Parts: sequence; structure tokens; C-alpha cells
Amino acid sequence: MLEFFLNRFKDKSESDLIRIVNSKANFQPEAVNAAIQILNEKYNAQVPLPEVTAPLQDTQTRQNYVRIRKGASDIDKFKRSFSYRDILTASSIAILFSAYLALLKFYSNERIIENAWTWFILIGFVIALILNHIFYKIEHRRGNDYLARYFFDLIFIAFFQIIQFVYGFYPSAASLSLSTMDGVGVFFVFAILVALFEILLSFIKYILRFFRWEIF
Amino acid sequence: MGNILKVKIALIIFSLAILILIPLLETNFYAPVTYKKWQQLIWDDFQGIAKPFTGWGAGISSGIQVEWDSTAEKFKAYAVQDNQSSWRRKVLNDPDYVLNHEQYHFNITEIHARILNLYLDSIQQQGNTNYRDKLITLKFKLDRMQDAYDGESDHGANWGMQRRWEYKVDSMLHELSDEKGKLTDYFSGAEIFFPTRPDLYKQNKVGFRPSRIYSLIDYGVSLTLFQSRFEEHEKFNLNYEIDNFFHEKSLQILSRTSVNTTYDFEVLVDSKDTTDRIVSTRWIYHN
Repeated sequence: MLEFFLNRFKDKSESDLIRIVNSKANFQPEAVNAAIQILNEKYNAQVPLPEVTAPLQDTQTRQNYVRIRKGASDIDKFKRSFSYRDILTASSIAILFSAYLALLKFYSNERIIENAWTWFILIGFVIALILNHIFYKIEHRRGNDYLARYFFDLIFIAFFQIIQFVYGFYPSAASLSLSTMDGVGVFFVFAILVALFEILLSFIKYILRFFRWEIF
Repeated sequence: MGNILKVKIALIIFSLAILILIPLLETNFYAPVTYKKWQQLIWDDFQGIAKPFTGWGAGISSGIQVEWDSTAEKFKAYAVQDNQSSWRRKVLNDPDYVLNHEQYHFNITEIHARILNLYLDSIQQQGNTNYRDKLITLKFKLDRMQDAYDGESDHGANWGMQRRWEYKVDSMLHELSDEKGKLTDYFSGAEIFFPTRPDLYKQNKVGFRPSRIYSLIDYGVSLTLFQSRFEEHEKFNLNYEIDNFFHEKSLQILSRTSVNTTYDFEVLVDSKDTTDRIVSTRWIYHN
């Protein structure tokens, strides 16, 4: 078991490993030991291995662990595992969506874009949301439930708003970014759209689970 | 994990490149700008970089600029064109037609500059110089009108709608000029609106009915005010005279509608010529 965790944690960053050690109640003892070993060997940390506990205590810990794991909702898991990686995901997708919008505005007079302006924005927005979740799932090896996904989407929208605001100061880019007034309105519109999108996504997931065909 | 980080960094670099490059393209890499006040455009006024992969031949950037006129001691609004944000493709099928389409974008901006000037004059007489709200409102209306112009004329590809918009824009410009767009014939007292100043022809040969004709051939149509002198006793023969007019011009009458009016006589006649072109006429007799 220790070997399994050593192999699984070998690419984790130092901060990720420290977080595992600091919240050892949530992890199996072998996982914590593996994190400590990698910290000591790879990052020259001098973390002592935990003392061997009596079988009874170990059982209690395991029972606690199971209870915690079962009781934890996805939003708790989301909060616990939230790190710079998620910030980078949301911000990179927000910059990508901003660039997409700037391109749309640049070519707004082209016939194909002019005739389907709203669709281009909506489809781009949905793709950005999906990318956000795909990146999260690849990095955390698990998906989120409705609330956690919505919370992560709001982080993405907040980054998008900040980028739009900052981009407005770039010379001659004001026409390519949303104005402050638009920004406030767009934030609420996007927040509502996201809520609807996530409800739809949850419904689709529920249907797929019902037919035992969970493709995502 | 490492791969995902690389993908995210690549996305950020790619997106930032787009965000930085677009304003550079739009401003011709921040080349010095010349703002041309409203007048006839020439292709040299289009110095910007053509949009890559665009389907259109040219694009114009125009706006309203408010300046302090030290001679008149008041604020004045001007329609201006930005030469570095206006662009054209090197090869164009019909450069004159494309330039004319862009000119009317500039004319639409001039209409709104004139509206702002009317507003500036009215508020400055009251000692007020706060025009910002009005400018914002006008900017919004200007954008909507530019969009409508491009939308209805299909960026100039719809020849008929392009002509219609030219008529509309010229009429508005004429209405907002000192002449107010209304032409009054001082002999007959007839008042008529022409989008631009028409030509005047006079008929006063002996043996012919004296007449004065204002004519404007533009926008793919001919707009004419034909005035002729009738004696009081001739007014009962007006329908006969109208029939004669159409007969002499080889026009076939399609419809004839009498109108209840304040004039002594008024009738609308639609006809067509030998090439099926429609001629719509309105006949009025008034003492």
C-alpha cells in the first residue's frame, strides 16, 4: 500500500505534500507516510514519521476516517483541495475567453459573426465552462457536484471580470473589453446562465447515472 | 500534471498574444493619427492595416470630436475620420462603389455631429456647457444607425438599399444644413424637399405652356418637380391635360387616385414606360 502511495505522490508539489501531512486525519496512514517520505527524500524536509499506533487506536482512526469521508460533501472536498492550480485554471480559461471575445469584437462586422453574434458568445462561454471543469477533473482526478462546480464557475467569472477591467486600461483596447457598466450587468447575466447550465449538466449526469452510462 | 500546467501556460501566452496584437492591428502599431474633418474621402485616407481574413473590402473609423472654437467662443462638434484605423484591401472589384459606401458611414457621423451642434448652441445660449450626457446618447444612436446602414444595405452589397440609404442620409444632412432641405419656388410658391440641390430648367418659348422644372437624377431614380401655368378656366380640363402628358411621354397609366385635399385639385397617378420603369406622379392645382 505504501508503494502505491509513493508512486502516486511522486509528482506532487511540496505544498501538496505538506497539506496531506497537515490534514492527516483525512488520509490513510500509508498515504501520510508516503507524503512524509517524499518530502524528506525529494525536498530535504526533516519531518519525523508518526509513531506506530496501537491497533485499537488505528482502528478508531480508520473508523473516523471513513466517517469523515462519507460525511464530506463535494463542496468540502473542493474547499480542502483548493490550491493555486485551480486559480491558474480559472485565470487561464478567463484569459482565453477574453481573447476569444476580443477576436469576436475585432471581426464583429464579418457576415458570419454579425448574423450569429449571441450564439458565438454563448457557445464560447459554455466551452470555457466545460474546459474549466475538464482541467479540474484531470488535475484532481474527480469531478464536483452542482454547488462546487457553480462555485468554481463563479471564480472563473470573477477572473474574467478582473481581466476585462484591467484590459480596458491597455491602449486602444477599451472598445475590445466590456465597460464597467456592462461588466456589472454581464456578471449577473453570466452568473444566472452558469446556474442554468450547471442545473442542465447535473440533470444530464443524473440521467446518465440512471442508465449506468457515466461517460463524464 | 506537468502537462496540464504546460497547457495552461501555453493558453495564457496564446491569449495574451491575441489581446496585445488586436489593438496593435487596429491602430496600425500606434502610427501617428490624422483626424480628417468631414469632407469627401479619398483612398489615401485609409492607411490602416487590412483585417486578416476579412470578407470586406474596406473599413472606416469615424467619430465625433468636440473642440473649443476660439473665434466664435463656443464649443463645436465635428465628424472626424481616423486614417490609421480606417483600412482597405489592396485589390478591390469596384473601388469607387466601396469608397462611396464608406463615405456614407462618414456622412452618418456628420449627421450626429450636426445634431450635437444644435444642442451645443441651445445650451450655450443658456450659459451651460455640459454636453457629456448628450454625447453619450448620440454616440449610442450613431452606432445603432451605422449598424442599421450596414445591416440593411448588406455592407453595400444590396444596391437598391444602398441607394435608399444614400437618399435618406443626404436628406437628413440637407435638413440639418442652413438650407433646411426645403426648396421654395418663388413663382408658384411650391415647397418641396430634395435630398440635395436639384437642377432647374425653364420653358418659356412662345407657343408652349410656360413651365419650370426642378430635377434631380440620383440614387437610381429621377426626382422632378414640374410646374406649369394654367388659367382659371382651364382647371376643368386638368384630367384631359394629364392624359395628354402621359400620352406624349409614351407612358402607360397603371392607376389613378383622386385625393381629398385642401388644394383645388389633387390626383396621384402611377404609370410605367416602355422599359417597365415605374413613374409615380402627384398632380396638384392650386390658385
